[in-house]
Amino acid sequence: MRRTQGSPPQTVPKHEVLGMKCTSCMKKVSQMLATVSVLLLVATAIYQSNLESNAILVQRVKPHDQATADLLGEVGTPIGSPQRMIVSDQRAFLPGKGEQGERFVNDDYLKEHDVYPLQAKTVGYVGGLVKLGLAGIALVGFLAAWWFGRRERSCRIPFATSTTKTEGASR
Amino acid sequence: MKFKTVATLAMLAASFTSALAQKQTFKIGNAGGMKVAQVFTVDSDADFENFTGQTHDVTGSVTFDPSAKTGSGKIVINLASLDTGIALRNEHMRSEMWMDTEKFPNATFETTSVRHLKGDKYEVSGKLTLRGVTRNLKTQVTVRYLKESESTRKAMFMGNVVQIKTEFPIKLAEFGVKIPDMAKGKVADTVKARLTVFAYSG
Repeated sequence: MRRTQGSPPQTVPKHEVLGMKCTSCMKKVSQMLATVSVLLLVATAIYQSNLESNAILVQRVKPHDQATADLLGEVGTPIGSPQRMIVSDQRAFLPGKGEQGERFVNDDYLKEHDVYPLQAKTVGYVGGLVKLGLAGIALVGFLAAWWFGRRERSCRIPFATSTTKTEGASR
Repeated sequence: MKFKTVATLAMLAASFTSALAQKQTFKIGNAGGMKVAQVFTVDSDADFENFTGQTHDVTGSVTFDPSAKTGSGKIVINLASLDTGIALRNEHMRSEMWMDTEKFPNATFETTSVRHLKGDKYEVSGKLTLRGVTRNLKTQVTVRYLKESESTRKAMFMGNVVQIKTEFPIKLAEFGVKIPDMAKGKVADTVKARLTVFAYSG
């Protein structure tokens, strides 16, 4: 800021004013960061919970043709073990259920349509990591906001003293 | 006289049984329009995700005696065709660090003994060769024998058919696979192998 002719002399050192402004600004940024992180954390938890609620126990199966299925008394050959997956395309399901109540999913259909179903395990793992990260950022944000707030408050008193002293000295 | 008749009948029955109890040779694979798939899978259950590698390229032959409930066999699995559902992961699986399929394209299992347990369950011992390393393996196998009938012909099977099912763990380190740090949590140290094959007598 430029001093104009005839204006009263600046009594507060420029770097202190800037320092205080900076501290106040950093406090706001930290508060904002913490708030956004908390909001994202809640959103992630809701999204994860929503995804996980759509996951069901499924068994991928290489299906037999009808005559073979009738002969062998099985819908097809299992591919892998039953696991919780999110399969949104209902056409991928085959009739019947397994011993653990798992639904059969046509592996040929998944391949033909280039579908790689999301696993509940992956959702849980990635969701957990994201939530942990956001909680960490939120914590750092809150701590930083608290620290900058303390600094801001402590800056005010010396600032006032300094102004008085400066005024006295100028006289 | 009565004793002689009983002895003759017993001998006839024994010879009839031994005639039935002939070992049959079955070929693994599809022929003559057989529609069933030969399936070999490996399941990895790691922290991040589960994945299954699968191949339908399984060949070999088995002998099986449905009366004496014994048999033997050799099964060859083409690991180079193992598909995990993601092209990049397939490349990694085939690489030198993992299955090294350029050098060792096949895994083989050859039986050394077969012991009938009960029903259609058998305890099979044999040698599993993977990445050029051979280890002894003992596993429980389910063998379903389907004598040729209208139903088997309708299902396009050729002759008599055996369905062989088994699963066993494979500790990768025992076959020289060292999981790199960057893959830890994504690939399990021990994978579960499952085999379901159909063999026909022709």
